[in-house]
Amino acid sequence: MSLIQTIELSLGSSGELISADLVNLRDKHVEDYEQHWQPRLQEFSQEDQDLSWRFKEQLANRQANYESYAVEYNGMTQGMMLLETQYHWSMFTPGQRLVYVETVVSAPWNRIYIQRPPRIKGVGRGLIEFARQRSQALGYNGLVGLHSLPGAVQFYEKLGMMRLELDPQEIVDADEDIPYFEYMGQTQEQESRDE
Amino acid sequence: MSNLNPIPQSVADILDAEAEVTAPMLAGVGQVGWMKTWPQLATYSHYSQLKSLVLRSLAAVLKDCNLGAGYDAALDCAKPLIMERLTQPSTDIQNRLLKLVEGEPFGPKVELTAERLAQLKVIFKETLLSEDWQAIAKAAAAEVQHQVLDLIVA
Repeated sequence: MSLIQTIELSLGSSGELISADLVNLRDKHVEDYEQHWQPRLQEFSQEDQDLSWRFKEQLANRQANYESYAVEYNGMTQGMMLLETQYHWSMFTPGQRLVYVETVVSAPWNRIYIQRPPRIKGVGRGLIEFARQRSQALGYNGLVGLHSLPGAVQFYEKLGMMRLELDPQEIVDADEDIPYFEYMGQTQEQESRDE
Repeated sequence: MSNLNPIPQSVADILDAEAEVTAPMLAGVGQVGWMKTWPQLATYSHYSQLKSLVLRSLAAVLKDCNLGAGYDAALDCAKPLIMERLTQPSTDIQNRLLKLVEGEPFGPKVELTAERLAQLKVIFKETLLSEDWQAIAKAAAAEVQHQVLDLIVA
């Protein structure tokens, strides 16, 4: 295992803080998804039951602009994320590249509508925060963009990301009205706070 | 570690909001629209970039028709039609559409240049059926008629 960093999470039952490992995505995580996640996702008819994490892992291994990560706790995969780091540009800051979150998921048992209380809280936050750090390391000033499913909008608002409304001209049906969120860069955030 | 600014909410609030997410994925979009039938549109970014260009072009083409009060109705009618017709277009049309956005970065809208608009106008003519154009014209006409008849009520 190549540990990238530890991230702080909390147990859903007690709120106790725990440390989990953030690592590069590899076969073990895809196997966890297939063997442990998918049966739960299928049981609850979750749309992400058929995501090909094998493909995402291969994509990240083949193409330098993709990076994939996983969060492990107690030997089990708790979350996964795929980033694109070269071809996405900011919607708010012209001419500025950003790190784009292609996909980020938390394990089914960390979702309150599947398991109450959820086993672990904070996996998504930890992964998004890491995406921000990658953006910083790549010289993108901490900018991160993503398309959120409507049911996750409140989470990104709480994270302080800015929402970009879709041009009404480009909405054809409600299913495709998918909100876009972006973290402002450090400079803009500072200016925003100073105002 | 980085010197990033702290997240402007209490951590507990954020963790609760994350746990309560009702979407299957925190972020990321599965197969929607043409992505289901065009393997070249590998990600949602590819799809939304092209879709945006097509829909903006469609709006521009209809704007050029000087439809006045019938413009919005015509556009509302035309959008689902073009989306449907482009679900399984010919390979030639697919390639011409993909060429229009080739090498463009994801994120900001691809500029709707006169050249792109001209090419898309041709594609619309080849893709939308005669009955589609009829439906668009009828939608515009009905809206104009509605507006005029409203004068009587007023």
